[in-house]
Amino acid sequence: MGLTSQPVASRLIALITAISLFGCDRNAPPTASPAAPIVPAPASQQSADEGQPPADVVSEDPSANSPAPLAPAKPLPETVPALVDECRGVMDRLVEEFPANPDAWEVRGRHLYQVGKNAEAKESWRKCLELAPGYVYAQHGLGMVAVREGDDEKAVELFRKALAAAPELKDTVHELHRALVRLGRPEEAIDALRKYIGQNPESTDTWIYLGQTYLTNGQYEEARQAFETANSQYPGVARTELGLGTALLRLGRREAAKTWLEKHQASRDRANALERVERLDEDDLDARMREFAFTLTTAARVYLSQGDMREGERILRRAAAFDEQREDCRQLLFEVYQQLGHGDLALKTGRELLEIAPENPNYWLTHGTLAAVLGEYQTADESFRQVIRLAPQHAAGYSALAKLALQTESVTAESIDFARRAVETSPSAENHMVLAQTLAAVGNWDGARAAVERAIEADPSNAAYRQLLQQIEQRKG
Amino acid sequence: MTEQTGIDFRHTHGETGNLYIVEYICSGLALFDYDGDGLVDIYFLNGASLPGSDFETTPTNALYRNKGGFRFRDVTHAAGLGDVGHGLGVAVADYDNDGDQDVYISNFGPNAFYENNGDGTFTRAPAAPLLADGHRVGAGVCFLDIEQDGDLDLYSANYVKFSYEDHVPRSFLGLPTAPSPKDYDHDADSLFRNNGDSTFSNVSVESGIGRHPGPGMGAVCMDVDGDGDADIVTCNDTFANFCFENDGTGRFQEGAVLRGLAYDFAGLQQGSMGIDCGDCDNDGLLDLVMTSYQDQMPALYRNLDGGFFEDISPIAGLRSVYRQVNWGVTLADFDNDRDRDIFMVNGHLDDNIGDQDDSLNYAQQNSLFMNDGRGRFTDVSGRSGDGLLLKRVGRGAGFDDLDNDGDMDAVVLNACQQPTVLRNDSPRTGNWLQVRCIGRGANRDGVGALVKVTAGGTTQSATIHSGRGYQSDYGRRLHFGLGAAEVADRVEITWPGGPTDFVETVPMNQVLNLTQGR
Repeated sequence: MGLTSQPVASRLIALITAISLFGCDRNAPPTASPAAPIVPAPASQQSADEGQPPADVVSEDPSANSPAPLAPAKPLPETVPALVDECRGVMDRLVEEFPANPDAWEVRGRHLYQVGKNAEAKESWRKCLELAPGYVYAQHGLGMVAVREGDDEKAVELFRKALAAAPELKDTVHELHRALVRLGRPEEAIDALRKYIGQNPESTDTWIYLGQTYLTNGQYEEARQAFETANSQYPGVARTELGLGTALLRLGRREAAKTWLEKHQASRDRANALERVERLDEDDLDARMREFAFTLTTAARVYLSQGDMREGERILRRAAAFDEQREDCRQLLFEVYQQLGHGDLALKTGRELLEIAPENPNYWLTHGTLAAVLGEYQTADESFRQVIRLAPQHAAGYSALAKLALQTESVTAESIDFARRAVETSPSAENHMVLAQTLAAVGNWDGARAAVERAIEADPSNAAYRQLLQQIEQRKG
Repeated sequence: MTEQTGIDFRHTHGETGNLYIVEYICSGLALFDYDGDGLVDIYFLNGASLPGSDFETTPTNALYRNKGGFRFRDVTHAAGLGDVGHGLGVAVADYDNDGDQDVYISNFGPNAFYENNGDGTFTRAPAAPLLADGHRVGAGVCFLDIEQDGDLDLYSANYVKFSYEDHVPRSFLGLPTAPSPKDYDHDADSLFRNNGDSTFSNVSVESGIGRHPGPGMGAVCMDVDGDGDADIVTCNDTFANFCFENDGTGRFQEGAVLRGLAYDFAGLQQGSMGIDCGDCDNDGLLDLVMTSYQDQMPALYRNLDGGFFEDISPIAGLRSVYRQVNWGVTLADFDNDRDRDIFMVNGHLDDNIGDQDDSLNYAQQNSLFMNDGRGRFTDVSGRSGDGLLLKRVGRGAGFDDLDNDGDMDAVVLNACQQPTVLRNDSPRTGNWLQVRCIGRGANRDGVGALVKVTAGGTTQSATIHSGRGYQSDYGRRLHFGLGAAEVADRVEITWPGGPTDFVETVPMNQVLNLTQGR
């Protein structure tokens, strides 16, 4: 029997908050691959910026949103104009309801840009900047409009402004580089790319752009090195192989160049064939729904951050319906349903996430944790074992199984082994505490005492640990 | 100028409303002297009636005779050149070396070949059935002498494999848009060997040309690798371009990737449309310019010597057309200052593009880039007269001295609109020399000959082409701006096959007729 039992609900919140526990953010913004989407990631998915409120803060006050029946699901729009109208309506209502919220104006600008309404997009982003002068995504957006208007000088100015505040914005770096190259200023483009690579040396697409810009600038050896790096990070990319072949050719190494150019042709042929197949299934309505699911999700974040859980939920559900593979809207829904007291819907959403990304240990962990809260212990157990399968080097799965055993008062030798593995992989105070609890549960007081002493060493101010130590000593006494 | 010229041609691409891929790609044109009177005439290709078209009269191609003084007369019917095929590409040459210009037209459907009767009329050539080349979607066409036997062979690019049943309707934001060549299987190009007796043989496969399917558009011939024979560079739409390298016997190997001609500077497959060849930096090496789709830079491939090229468009200053769709193009000296400028014809595919993106327009201004003499260009379209301010939906274009006043004029075929005829009224600041080559032994038009003109310390180089730009043909008479030079110190011509002739101390401002061996 566990002596102290941290409330499961509070552990749940802790686990959900740490949704990127494993550092594999499957929900990362569309990365700027060579054919990258031009709109940057939502604010919440990049580092915070001053003057820019975090948009993914779910209200901590569920009472303001009493559990109530949710709005019935609407059928999907049957035409693109109907879809465009619907999304435009969401964006216009958003700024009507929150006229002082820069996030609202920013996402509206983003949607308008998507549908080619550049003049209105510009207005919306300008309004955003009036409210939050340092809002980097609005600066990026205005830069993109400037590109569309053929004003690369203006675009460069805006991209530079955004990057001065948020140098980690990869899409912005790449757009800046493109604009500079078009302007015939490859040296400056190289500087911008190198600066980014200095902080993000694993960014393969940036290395490719760098190599191409070196080629444009006649720096063939530097180009070769950049492409070599790109190739070592991510082999088999047609543009990298082309770049390597071209650089080697310019350096007079014709035979080596030919080898790479032949590889390139094979890679390119494969890519072309794949694109041809993908085009066969391409549908305007489906593509636009997927595209708009992104902006809807961002709009929903605004509602959530303003405490309107129900409208946020409604829009997120719409985004999820628009894109069956979209994860971020479902992650948010998962949280919102719990906040609204709809555990069943949260669990269902968790299952959807697992279907989309069955190899994501975070999703198994949160799914299992919620199942444990809802008393579905078998499901929880299976989920946590998947966590261990997918992330055996990480403590979370072992720890969760040990905790589950404590929660269900079914501590076994295996549970204790899990607790030990958790300590081995991450000797944190909390994991020592869990080990202590499992050992105590089977009457191994010496072991429990040693473990809780380690926990106290790691976190001397934790009263719960001291309390457990007292209890152990009393029992042992 | 168009209204004053007497040209009342209006192009159609079929206007079915179905947006067949064979519609929006539209047509080229040819500028050539069909009646040998020393004035350059205009031949417009036209679309045909397609399923869904509604025309009161059958559209035909149109030939306008140059009457001088920038006045033209429609002589289509009298000349017999009113082809009713869905015209896409055209090339003109004296294929039988009889002293007049014959016309080959690539269509959607059977291609057409018209022989000039020498009296201002044309009839179907004996080789027409073979050269019809089945029922394909044609593109750029070039005459060239593949094995230097003195007669001109024929290269005909093809686009995609299309039938009405295969039509792929596309839309964006719910608005109907043009399909992409990526929606279709690509077609291989064709090569026909001239047998020297007014007949041809189809050598597409054995020559190597027919082994490379690609969505071909404009094409031009030049000696890419400096080995003295004619190679072929073909624009491919959304696909790597082709460079067919001739081994001198009419067998070709595709080598665009190695040559640096397959992609743009960023290593991307462009929507390559039109192409022209010329020495843009007067280094004695022929460079290439290629037009491309919206959000792509046109490519300017600088010849690095040794037959390798690199796209220098970003540093060459061609940025201003990045948002436009470019088609017809030329490298020509519009201000006679001894360097080649770039004229580019623009116009979008989708007539609803403004609804898809309100920063774009269907009708677009054409662009003129002035060369600073070092191969760097400045867009001067906004200060080059009202003719450059017109917004139209350009496609094919031709460039020549239509009024024989010593400067280059322009004719632009506009999709489903009247053409634009632009007279060059630039202030006379430079002298000029035009060179017309007559082969004896080599083909009579001198197609493939390399002409070098040295004047005022500068040597300019140009090749005689038959087929260039966007599926068009023009400029058989080579034009050289001489700047302040009073004479050309030397004019040198290297004929296909090797022999070189030259003349020295050539007076300025004249058409110089050079006959091989004389």
